[in-house]
Amino acid sequence: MKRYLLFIALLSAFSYYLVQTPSVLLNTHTILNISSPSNDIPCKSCHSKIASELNSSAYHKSLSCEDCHRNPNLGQRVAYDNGTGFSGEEAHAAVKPRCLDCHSKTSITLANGTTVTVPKAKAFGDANYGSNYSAHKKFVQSSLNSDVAVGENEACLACHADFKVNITFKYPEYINVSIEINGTSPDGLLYNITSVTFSPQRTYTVSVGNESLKHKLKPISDIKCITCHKNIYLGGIGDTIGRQHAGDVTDKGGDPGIHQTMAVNNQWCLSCHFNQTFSIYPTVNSEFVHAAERIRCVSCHNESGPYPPSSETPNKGHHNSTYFYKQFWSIPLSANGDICVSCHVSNNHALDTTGCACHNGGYYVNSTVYREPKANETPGVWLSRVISQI
Amino acid sequence: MSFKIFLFLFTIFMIGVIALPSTLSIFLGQHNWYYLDNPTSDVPCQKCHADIYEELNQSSYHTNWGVAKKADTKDCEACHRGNTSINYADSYQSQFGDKAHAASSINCGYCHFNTSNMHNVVHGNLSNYLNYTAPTCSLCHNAHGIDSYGIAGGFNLSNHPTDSGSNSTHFELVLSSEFYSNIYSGESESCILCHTAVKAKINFTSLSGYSITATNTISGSKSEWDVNISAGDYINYTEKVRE
Repeated sequence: MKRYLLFIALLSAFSYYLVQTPSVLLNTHTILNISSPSNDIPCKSCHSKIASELNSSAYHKSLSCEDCHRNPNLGQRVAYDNGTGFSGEEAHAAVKPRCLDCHSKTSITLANGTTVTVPKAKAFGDANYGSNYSAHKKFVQSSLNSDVAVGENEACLACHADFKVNITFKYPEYINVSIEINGTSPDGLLYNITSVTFSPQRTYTVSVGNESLKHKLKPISDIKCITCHKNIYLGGIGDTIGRQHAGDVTDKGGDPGIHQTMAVNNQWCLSCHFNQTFSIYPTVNSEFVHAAERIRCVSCHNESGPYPPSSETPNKGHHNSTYFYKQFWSIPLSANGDICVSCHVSNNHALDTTGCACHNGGYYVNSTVYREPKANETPGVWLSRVISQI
Repeated sequence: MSFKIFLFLFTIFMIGVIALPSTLSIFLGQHNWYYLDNPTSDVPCQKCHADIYEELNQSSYHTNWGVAKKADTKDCEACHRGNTSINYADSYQSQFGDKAHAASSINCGYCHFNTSNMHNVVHGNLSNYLNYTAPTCSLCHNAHGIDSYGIAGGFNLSNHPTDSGSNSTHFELVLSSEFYSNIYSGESESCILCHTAVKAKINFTSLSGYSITATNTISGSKSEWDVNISAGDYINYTEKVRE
């Protein structure tokens, strides 16, 4: 009896598949009705992974695929058939939208005709991506030359999405700076920066984000400067691997100063690079930038800024304020901080903070300023080398 | 008689009921020739392609060439004998057939990428060759008389004047169907993927991220960052469509 049942089962399975086998074209002639006003071909059928990403996204969760990818109210000219057929122009089923298609505006109309407000991308949502004060403007502009994504989307994704990005920074390993004291100023000092030269470059690589989750957007509060700028973070906490930065700055008298009283986190970065309370000062322009302002130490430490050198404690870094500080505006920006930090001591220099090590030779300073250890150099070797060069 | 023997005999009997008539009918009807001299085809496609005929009966489109909203031979012929560059075998017109005899495989784009082809099929083949009377103009042409109904624009593959395909997400799919797949004619694999109820398994190889190289360049008193962006690694995943 069992054999008989097995035989019947096999025969049934064979009969079933026999019908399927010649039907290579099964269902290819059953054409879906696409004549309703909305999109009748569900995007999720093929793109369930993206739908899943969106479900876990901090933003855009309530939007439909059509709102971004086939929205005539955004000027997208795709094919549709709602009783009156329309041939697609720029795309057939879906376009590749730029983030700024929506985020350069304050409101948009969704595919279903509903108007909603949109957070406009500050500065980057303006013509020409806003002012040149934005630290990341070059990144946005450079995205236009990449075909990884459309428009400037690569730049948006790097910070706002959980998308994997490998960043390699290349920058001079050290600078040589020559400063003379010629005594020609009214106060008998006048520090002149006579030359700044740059060394060959070193590299620093950091990986951020997860894999291929470009539709999963992060809450704004989760975007951390130090995720990408990890070397600055490490320098800020005194790690010898890290890059010297404002966290290294201390006063010669042992006063750690404002830059070292804060934890090295987003607030620490933004206190200089996005400090809107400083907008009243002509040399600070955070109100015109997207995420961070390109600044120099002298953006704040100048006679028109929030920390004029003339107000500083005498003999603690004022450097005849009338003359010295102005020179920094004509020095390449990336050297500014290094020159300042070279004297104001860094966490990772381990120098005598009570003396002026660079000036021990007299009136003339010819100093090599290392930003951080050489590539693959151990902290111990680096420290010995730095001290030997003083 | 035991139950087992009964079952065995019953099974043999049932197989016989199904197989015996066929066996005897191997040659049944083979001398009963179809009349081919009518203007339209007299050979019913559904005789061999009943499954497709049934699918077409459930289709929202392509069933109006003969009896409206019902699959019939004219619907088959509109596509598979609609290529105006082929002389199909046609006794009525004394054609022997050249590139195809009864039917040609057809790519969707033959009509849906080419307004001229569509025009010639509808107003040429179907009007004359298939004795098809064109319906009202508005069925195919919009009020402006420009946009041909059913042209698949947006890939820059049609001859529609506004078709640029400059920002198309599925262009690579269509292109790969056209040149790297021979399951169906031309680009048809990509068309049926979205527009029919066919099942599919899509293996995606998707960009998992990208690489940025930011290089600090110094020129005079200017310090800038040159940014170069390139594709990173890829991941693989599978989407099962309608399964």
